[in-house]
Amino acid sequence: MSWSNGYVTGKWPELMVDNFKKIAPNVTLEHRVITFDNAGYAKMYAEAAAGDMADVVPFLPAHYQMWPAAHRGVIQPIDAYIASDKWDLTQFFAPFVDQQRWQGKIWGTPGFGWTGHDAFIMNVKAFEEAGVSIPASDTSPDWTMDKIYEMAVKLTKPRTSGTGDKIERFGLQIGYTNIQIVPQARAFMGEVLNKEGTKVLLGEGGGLKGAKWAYDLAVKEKAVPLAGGFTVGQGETLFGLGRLAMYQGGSLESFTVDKVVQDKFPVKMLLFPKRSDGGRPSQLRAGSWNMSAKTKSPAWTFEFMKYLSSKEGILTFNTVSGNGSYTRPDVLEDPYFKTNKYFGLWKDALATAMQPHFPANYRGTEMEDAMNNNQQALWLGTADWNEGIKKTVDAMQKVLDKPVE
Amino acid sequence: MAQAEHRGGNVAADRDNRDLVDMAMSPAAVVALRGDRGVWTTARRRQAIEGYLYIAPWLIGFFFLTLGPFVASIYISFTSYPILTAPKWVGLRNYVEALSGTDELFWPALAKTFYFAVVSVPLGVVGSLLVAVLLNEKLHGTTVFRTLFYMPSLVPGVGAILLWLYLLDPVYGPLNAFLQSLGIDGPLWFQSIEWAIPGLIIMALWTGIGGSRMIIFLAGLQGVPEELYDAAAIDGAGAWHRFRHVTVPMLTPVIFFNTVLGIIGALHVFATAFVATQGGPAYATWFIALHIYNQAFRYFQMGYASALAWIFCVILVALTLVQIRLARVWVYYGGER
Amino acid sequence: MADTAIVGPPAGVVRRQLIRITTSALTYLALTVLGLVFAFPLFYAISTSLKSSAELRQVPPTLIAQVMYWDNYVRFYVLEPMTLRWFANTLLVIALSVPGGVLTAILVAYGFARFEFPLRDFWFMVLLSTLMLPNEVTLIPLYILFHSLGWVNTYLPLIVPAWFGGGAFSIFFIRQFFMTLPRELDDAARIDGANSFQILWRVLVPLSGPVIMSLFIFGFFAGWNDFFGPLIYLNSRQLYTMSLGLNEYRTMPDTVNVPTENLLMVGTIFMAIPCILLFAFGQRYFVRGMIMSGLKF
Repeated sequence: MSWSNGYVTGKWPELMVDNFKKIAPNVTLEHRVITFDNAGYAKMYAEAAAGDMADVVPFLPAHYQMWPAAHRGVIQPIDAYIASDKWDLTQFFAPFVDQQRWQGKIWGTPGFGWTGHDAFIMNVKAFEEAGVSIPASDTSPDWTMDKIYEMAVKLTKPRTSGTGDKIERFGLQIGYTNIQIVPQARAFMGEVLNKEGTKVLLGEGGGLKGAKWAYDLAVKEKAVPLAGGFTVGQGETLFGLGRLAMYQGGSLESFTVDKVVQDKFPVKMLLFPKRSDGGRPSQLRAGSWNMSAKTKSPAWTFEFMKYLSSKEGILTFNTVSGNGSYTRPDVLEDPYFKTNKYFGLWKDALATAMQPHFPANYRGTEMEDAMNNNQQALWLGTADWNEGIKKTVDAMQKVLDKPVE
Repeated sequence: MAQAEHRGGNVAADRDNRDLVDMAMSPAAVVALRGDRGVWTTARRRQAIEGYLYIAPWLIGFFFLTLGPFVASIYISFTSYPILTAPKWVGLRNYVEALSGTDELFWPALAKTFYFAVVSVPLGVVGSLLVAVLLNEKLHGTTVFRTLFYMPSLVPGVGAILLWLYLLDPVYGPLNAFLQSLGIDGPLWFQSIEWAIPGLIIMALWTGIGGSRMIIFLAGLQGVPEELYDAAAIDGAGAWHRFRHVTVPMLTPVIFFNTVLGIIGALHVFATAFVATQGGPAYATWFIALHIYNQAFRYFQMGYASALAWIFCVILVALTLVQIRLARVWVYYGGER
Repeated sequence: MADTAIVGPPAGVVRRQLIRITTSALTYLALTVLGLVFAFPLFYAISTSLKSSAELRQVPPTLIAQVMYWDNYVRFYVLEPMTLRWFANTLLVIALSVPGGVLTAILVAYGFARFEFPLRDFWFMVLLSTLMLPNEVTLIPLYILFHSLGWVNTYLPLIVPAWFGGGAFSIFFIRQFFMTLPRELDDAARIDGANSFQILWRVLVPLSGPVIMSLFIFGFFAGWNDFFGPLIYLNSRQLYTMSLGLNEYRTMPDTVNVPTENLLMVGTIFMAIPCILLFAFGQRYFVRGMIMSGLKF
């Protein structure tokens, strides 16, 4: 039996394989480390066509890959196995189970996941310096998108002396990619894509407002380091250096921010402002362990999938690899999560996490590439706002309009 | 490109030699035979068989690994083929989509690729020629310099790209720091739309000027007969004059060779874009080879990617043929013409 | 005429000597400047490899590491234990493919250089035209061919094609060289009763030392640097070659938020060292080989 995994390497997969030996001593389990790059999916398809794709595979919903794989018959639904094992799905947070559903069936076990970039991480010292007060919670009246905008502007400090680039401290790091813009759109009661994945909503209503909010901060107010020569991945580093007051992140940050900040300054985190309808702007980004359609040992495959998604599997996923990723409430009781200063925020968010909307025509990352590149062009100033956002929306819609094949 | 050459033997003399069964026959005599309207002797047949046997490895490989896939890719280019399900015939749709501009990334991808090639190749060829000329001056220690210049091309591709990613980092890299010290605000290089390709060009020149191209030029320079220089010197020609009127014309075959191969290579630019910029920022480095790769492996459109590859191939072949044609005007083959 | 005895060399000679000295000086100057420009990135690579992660983000950047983190060279392996494996994989692929390429190139070039057979010139033109072909055209069908053979995610697609001639350039290169060797040598051997294979092996190949060495060296470099082939055909990280591995290194989940240029430069330097050593030792053959091949255009 074989297991393809590229998401987390090192000790965790080894632990999983070793532990599974105790559960199933007669089963040989081969762990294949695959690339986590998007091109890896095409190659898994080719493996499937040749008949030697692994039994347990990761077609991540977060990468919009699970539904195409299901559509193309590469993976198979597991409802029958769940029923015969009487596997209790309520052990997981409901949104994560919902994400495994497609056309009425369940296609994978919730392995790992988080609610996306749905929070702001703040440098308390910087706020104090700039004279900006941090609201008590995400339902505070002074915690709205407009207020956050003002804060970011106020927190930005141009350089007055010395050499180097022109801004000494940036107010906020946000992004323009799909991962980050969806929560922003949802904060304004809008969407990037419609639920069916056939229409782009970025150019209207809340979606447009969210995109403009981000754009203005970056281009007009120059409060965002992204457009000034910094890449997305450098946000945390800048934060650690004290050059960034606030950035958009997710639950993962609870566990990684301290590595960068250490003791330099206190950190506070707040979720996006709660919406008037009670929703929390988020975009569930989950993993999935799927069963190959051509597996020769479905029973053991399902056993292993269950193990990976069990309390032990998911807890070790986090403790061994330093992640902040969860799909089930019982792991949160563990000291690893309980003693983390920031993680408590997400406990309530989990029940209300919002599902992503994915393109309906299974063309891999084509829509995202169109969105990211056009957004980048807009942020780098090649077009003015109206022209640029129209171009982005048109390019995305063009991809969505291509036939399903 | 090179033509087959007949070497050795005096054909006219051998034509008189009709004794064909003698195994110590030179190939020139075989030529003579052929001139007699195809008398297949044992010897001739054996030579033909042996010849084919020797080239068999290439020939077999050609059929299975080149021609076969070639023909297959023509078929695939007329289909929609998302890898897993069977190819579905769509006729000319893929070609129309690309050439008509419906795929709004296609023509710009070609344009960007040509921009990269048209700037980097001439600079690279001229650069390596000049460096070769400098090294060809019989001075002490040129071997040291030669090794030094060759070293960049020894840094393996991905490593060099990663190195330059850091060198050209707009905030943390030394180049912009150096420019800053001169009072210039360095561009954002790989994070800027206008400067991404120039950044890639600089990287290409670093590995391209001192590498094998330079060695080939050195070889060419050493092939220029001394007598020509002496004759020119006697006529009172100065160093620059000698360079322009002796060295360069004699080197035109080498320049041609380096240029043609250089352009072919440059138009294929892929790894640098893939590793350094993933085609960004904002499609700035979205070269045609990367476009083909993305279509095939990221968007699952193997049929469309095949059509793109064919269009690219046709353009490349046309371009090379044009260059060969033009070569008749400016390339001087010295003693061979 | 005593008063004109000590006159010195004529003015023309002095002028020529001055010109020669100036040209030499200028040439040295140009070479030195160019040398520095070319060498700087390499120097910076070494310097970067010794820096701490924090120093990588210092503005303005430092030229030499303030504190030499020699243990980066160890950390490189510890952080990603597969790095040694990636090295070994690359060597394996090269060891299995390059000799095949050189061997078959010799055979094929011999056929083209020394034999008359129908359509010979046609096939040679075909060979040359394959130099022009973008590999993108054959990429997808080859990929499909290999995966229908079950060769995807193995080294076979990287090794087997080499044994079919080793590439048009190698064949062309040796063939050009063989054409410069006089036929009389062949004839002499034939008179002694040698068959065609013996002629190749005992006469032509020994004379082709530098050229063949060059091909081995080229082949090594090509295999060492190959990124595209492994990218397309290898899925499992444990099979990766060094090029691909180094690229993966950047995106390892454990290193996403920590600057790793220092470790990446360690990798780059390790990748460059075998090439530099090979070049240093093989330089004579290498350069002589290219010159000797006659490369008649």
